[in-house]
Amino acid sequence: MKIRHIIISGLILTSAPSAGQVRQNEFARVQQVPYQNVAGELYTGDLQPDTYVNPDWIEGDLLLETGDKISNVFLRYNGLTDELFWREPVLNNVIKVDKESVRGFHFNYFRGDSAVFFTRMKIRKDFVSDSTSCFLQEIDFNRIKLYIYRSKSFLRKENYSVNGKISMKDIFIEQPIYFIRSDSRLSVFRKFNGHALCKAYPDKSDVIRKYIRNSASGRLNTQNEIISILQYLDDYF
Amino acid sequence: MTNLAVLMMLLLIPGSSWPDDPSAGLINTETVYLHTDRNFYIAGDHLYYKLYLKSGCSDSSRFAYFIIRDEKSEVISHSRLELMDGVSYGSIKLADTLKTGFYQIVCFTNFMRNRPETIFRKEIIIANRFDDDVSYFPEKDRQSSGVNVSSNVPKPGPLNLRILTDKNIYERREEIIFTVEPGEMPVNEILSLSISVSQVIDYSQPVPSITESFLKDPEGQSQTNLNGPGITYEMESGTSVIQGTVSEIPGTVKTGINFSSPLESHTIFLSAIDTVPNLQYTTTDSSGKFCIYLNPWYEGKEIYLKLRSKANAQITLDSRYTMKEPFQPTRDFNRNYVREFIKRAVKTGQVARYYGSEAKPDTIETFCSYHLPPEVYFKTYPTIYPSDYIELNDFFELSREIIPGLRIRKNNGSYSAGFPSLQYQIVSDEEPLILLDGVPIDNVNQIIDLGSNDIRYIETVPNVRYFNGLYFNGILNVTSKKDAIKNISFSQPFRQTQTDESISFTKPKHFNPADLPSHYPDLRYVLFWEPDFKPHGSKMDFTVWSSDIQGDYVINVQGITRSGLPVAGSATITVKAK
Repeated sequence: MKIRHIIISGLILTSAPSAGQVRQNEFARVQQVPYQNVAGELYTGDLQPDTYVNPDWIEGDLLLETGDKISNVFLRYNGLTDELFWREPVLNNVIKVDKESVRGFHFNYFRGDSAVFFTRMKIRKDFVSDSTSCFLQEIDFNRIKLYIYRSKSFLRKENYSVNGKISMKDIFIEQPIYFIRSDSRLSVFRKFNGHALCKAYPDKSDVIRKYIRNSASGRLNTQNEIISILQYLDDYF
Repeated sequence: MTNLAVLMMLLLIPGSSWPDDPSAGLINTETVYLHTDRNFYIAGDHLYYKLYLKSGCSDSSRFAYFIIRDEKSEVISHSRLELMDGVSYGSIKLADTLKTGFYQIVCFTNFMRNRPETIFRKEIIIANRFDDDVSYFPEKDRQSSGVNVSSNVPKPGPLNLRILTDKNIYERREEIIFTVEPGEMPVNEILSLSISVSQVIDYSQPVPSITESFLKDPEGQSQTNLNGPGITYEMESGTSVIQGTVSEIPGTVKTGINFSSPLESHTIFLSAIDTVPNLQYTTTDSSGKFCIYLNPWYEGKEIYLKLRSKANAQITLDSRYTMKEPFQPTRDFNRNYVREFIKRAVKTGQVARYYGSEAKPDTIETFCSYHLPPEVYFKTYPTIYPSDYIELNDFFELSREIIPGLRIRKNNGSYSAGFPSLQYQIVSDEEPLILLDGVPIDNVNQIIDLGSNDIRYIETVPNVRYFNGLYFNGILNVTSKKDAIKNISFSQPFRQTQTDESISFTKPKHFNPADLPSHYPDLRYVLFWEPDFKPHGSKMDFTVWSSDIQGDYVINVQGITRSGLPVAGSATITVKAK
């Protein structure tokens, strides 16, 4: 009998506050639209990893043209087609996001860097084409900004074997194009080296040569080397 | 017994159903106070106001609503006010055609409608200069005689301001100098003041000051939504809100009994006529209610709301300008005094209009910032201009001849559209999303009669589209030449409404006697109105000029401090001829 009393009183204790809960819910907001203005196309094709700048889904944020931000979403960026893919969380479908609806996106962690930001800009991909909107990685120094268009292109076909069966595989190579914005000027570097840099900024050629001479490798091949020289040059702009 | 103890422990774990905060279920509220330049107007005048908002929540409303009702409780004017730092000020132009009589100003935020007793109400008199028949005012006479303008003076308190005038009685067109002293607090503690010097009619119960309104003990107020089983009104802290209900159409239920039952989980589309295909949506909750946080792009536009799916239902929109409670004037006034006052005001109003001496308000701030529309698709697809081709009579022909990818089928006299190339259909039995002039329509039958001469251009999006959580089996967007959407009759539940837009912050130019020609009469009832005075330095001195109208004037000062506390002060002066 005592046990029954205790259980009943326990149930009363738990049910009493639920009235407060109901009341709180009564004034809770009714359902809202989950996301602001993300538009895209359902993508059912294969996501061939080699063509992607990030072969695996990376968590990040999507910054929309409307100014809204969708945080903690899984994104993949295709460098070959310059397309952004989003794994929408409700049905887990892959959405090819309308590029024009996105101002930029941001990877929480990418190739060893945290907070890598890509912004949409109009550029000319090659000498003959018209300008088009592309996603470029943005690195902001104090006076200058570096934009990297992480373009991928087809290199060759290669044989590979799986369980003794030989197949052909496309090999893609990343061919980044660098853009440096200083003041109102945008300089393009399809091959980033000391000579191109001196040609773009002849008034700073002495500083550039001096930096390269004194640097450990004496070259500008890796992205870290490029970032280092731009960090150094930033003071001279 | 040990098991029992464990069971009891589990039952009492906080966070399961026991609220962390005992007051969590209680709703906080907002209070508004409206300071008007006076309480008597001539039809055609500008009514100047300043609105103060006090919020009991961590967040506060961005919009307030302003209604003027006549004695039949009909809304004669309504506006949406934008609040900046908890205040809003501006002017409402009173229509020339208003009859002489009592009117009520009602001010509230959407959130305040959950507790109607907190809604601000104030009575005013409006007189028409062509309507001097004061028999409208009932015969009942208050016992008191004469004017008692001091009834507006707030009771003494620490938050009261002191108004010091250089004298009590002034001549006509004389300089009046007064100082506002902030009592016990430093001047720089005051954030903003609104100051009026005007003749007011003492005809009804005195309007409480901001201190009395804001410091009212909330204990006496009920904690429940008094709107019955209706909508819980949302706080509009960021964007405007559209609320409503979807219910079955009464009288169409099989049993023949009239009742409205809610429809759950229905998707409601919201859009406006535009060349850009635009869309916002929401879904109904378990009781059929819905709430849309409106994209600012839709503000001031005529919008269309419709259900995505077929249903024997109706959409009822909440109208915040409709008040159930009737307006009943207090009728507690000195009849003779008011009649004489109105007769005199009507005459001076006629003369003032002849000289055109009423100052127009200056616009201080407008609220029409640029916003992007919520576009349904951004990717550009080839646009088809029917005018580039031979003339085709209807949309069926157009689809067959010039729209690639789209197939329209006819079955039992009804048409259906689809993109056969779609590899993967999420909503298999649905047509593509069809937009006419930017607005979603029910089906292709509604546009089947449109031919080449009616259509400006057509866009097709022949893939499964994702839009903010919704999927569509492709999109067909038709833009007509002459807003054909206006001639469409919808078979699915549909409503059309006009959204609100905030009115600008305005204030009048301060009177300068040099601006008035010497032979012109000065017929101002309001000697001074400054809605947004921000104190600088240690003194708050003001200079105003009396007009040709004799009588008692009230200097009425209302405001708030930097810590959000209300402050008020009042004084009376008299203007007399030599």
